[in-house]
Amino acid sequence: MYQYDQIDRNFVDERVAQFRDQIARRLSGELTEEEFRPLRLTNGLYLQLHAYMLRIAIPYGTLNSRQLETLAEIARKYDRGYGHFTTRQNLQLNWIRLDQAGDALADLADADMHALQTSGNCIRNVTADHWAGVAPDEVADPRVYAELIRQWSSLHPEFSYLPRKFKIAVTGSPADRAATRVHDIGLVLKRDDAGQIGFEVIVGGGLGRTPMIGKTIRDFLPEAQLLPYLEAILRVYNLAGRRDNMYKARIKILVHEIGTEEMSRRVEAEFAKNIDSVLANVQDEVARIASYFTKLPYGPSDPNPESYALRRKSDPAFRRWVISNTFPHKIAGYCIAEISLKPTGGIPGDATSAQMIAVAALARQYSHDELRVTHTQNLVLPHVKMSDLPAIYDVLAAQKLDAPNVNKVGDIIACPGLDYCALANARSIPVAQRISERFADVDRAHDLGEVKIKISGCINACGHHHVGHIGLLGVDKNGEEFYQITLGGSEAADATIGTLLGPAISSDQIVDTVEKILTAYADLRQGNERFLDTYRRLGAKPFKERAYAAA
Amino acid sequence: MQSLTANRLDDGAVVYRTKLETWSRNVHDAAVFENDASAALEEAGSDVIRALVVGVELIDVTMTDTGTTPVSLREKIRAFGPTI
Repeated sequence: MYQYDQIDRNFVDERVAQFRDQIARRLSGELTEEEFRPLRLTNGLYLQLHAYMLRIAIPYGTLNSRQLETLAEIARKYDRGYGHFTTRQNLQLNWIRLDQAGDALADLADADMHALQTSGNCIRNVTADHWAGVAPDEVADPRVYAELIRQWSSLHPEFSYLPRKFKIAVTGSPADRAATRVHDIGLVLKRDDAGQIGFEVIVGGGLGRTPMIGKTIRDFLPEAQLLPYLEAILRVYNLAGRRDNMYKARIKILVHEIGTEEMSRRVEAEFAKNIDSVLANVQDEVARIASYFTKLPYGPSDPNPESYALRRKSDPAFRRWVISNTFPHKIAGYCIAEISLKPTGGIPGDATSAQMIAVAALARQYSHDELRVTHTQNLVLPHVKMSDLPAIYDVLAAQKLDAPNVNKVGDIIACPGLDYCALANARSIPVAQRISERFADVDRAHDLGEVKIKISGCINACGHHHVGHIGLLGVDKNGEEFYQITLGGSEAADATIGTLLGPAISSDQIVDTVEKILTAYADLRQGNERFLDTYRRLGAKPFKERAYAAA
Repeated sequence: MQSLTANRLDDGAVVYRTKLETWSRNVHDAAVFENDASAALEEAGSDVIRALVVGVELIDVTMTDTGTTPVSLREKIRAFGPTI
């Protein structure tokens, strides 16, 4: 994976030194909060309900073992011994002190990490497919381009004061595991007829109060033109994006107001001006970055070794975990193992320092020293030999990280909600906990199959509720928590904004209502239909009738 | 009835203005303003200038057996911590 060079290292070290000085001046009163706030946000430090929150960037969700250990140590040393992995593949620490934030960032920089691009109206931390480099269906490794974008966009002077924040996601596969169609820019790697690598370029997707599916403005953009083309999109947006109204300032509103065709025309016109720019000549840099992501020394591996086959036969819990949490790898004899951070009754995305250290050790021993964070708030060991699965599973079970529920009803995305977040209107985490407890029976959860429940505590939609198969949005009704239900959303290649089912449901009733919806699905499904398939075939009506039927 | 709350600058902790015009971590110690709290709000602002606290604001409270208690769920969570 990518390693910092001296330029990267100097850059983050300088930033830490600057921020330490700014913190000292704030604590002495030399800087006012109004002056300091944008400085601390640029460094990922928010002030939430209970304390400062540090949002640490995990570029394109890739980490090595040392980095995860560093995160664990920072959580232990400066926080309360746990962290929260987010839908942006970041890690949030909820109890940071301002007077220790500089030390935390210095420790982070020592492990080639930072908290830049996690706040403000800039190009945010780039996200990518968490199966990058290992998925059998992959066209090319999206991390090479995500890293290129990271380097180009970090503190980019022209794009540091955009109308609003700007999120870019890259996927290497047509299956789209990076939710590219709900990002400001989504890039889908593909090949043209001549076999040349390029991108489908999607703009103007997003969630929040005005959810939109992104529009394709270029079917095929050759690889070498990526940065000039992104620059053209950003320039069009920077000039024409609305600065008069924060709620209409994202690029999705611009694309919606002027239309896809006009957006495409403006971008192409801008692009024509800088097609020969220095940014079009980055092949050497792409090759340099790509060299960090080259083929790992995969040794031969038996696809069905005896130790694995025997355990699978004799241990039903292991078998269920393998079925739900491991996925095919591009190399025979290997698999991708996803570690669910959604134990029954647990807090989605939370991991303790001890758990992080155990997972880092697993990655070092069994996964070429590499880990991924998923936008669904789980972790991934991307290069696992089948013969190592029993040993890995035993460690995970000892750490209570063995929930066999990836993409199942218990694999819930939830934002921090009103328990931590200053913007939230209602709690998310307790609802997720109660739903996972209701569906704790593993046989029942596996019978229900793929169900993606996503919960947000406010309209900003950090919990991606609009694209949940079942989406829950917390609202405040005269001081009481209620939850709006949307059904039929998807963040995948078939991206769809869910449809509001009906009136909001009280906190007391919401788990029962979700159960009624899933029971209706179990009654109505045909063959191997997933919940989403049944919903698409039948529409909202039968689900609405069941959800709102008198008890 | 209202009380004054803020976050302490150095660690971000939730604090409440007491009758002695100090800041307490315990909401039950919060001074209660029956009527116009604007003078107290302005007075507490001097601690913002002195870089002791940030985000001073008035919140609705009630009096219970244990002392001052916030009304809204948000302020209860600020006062007593996450519910999870």
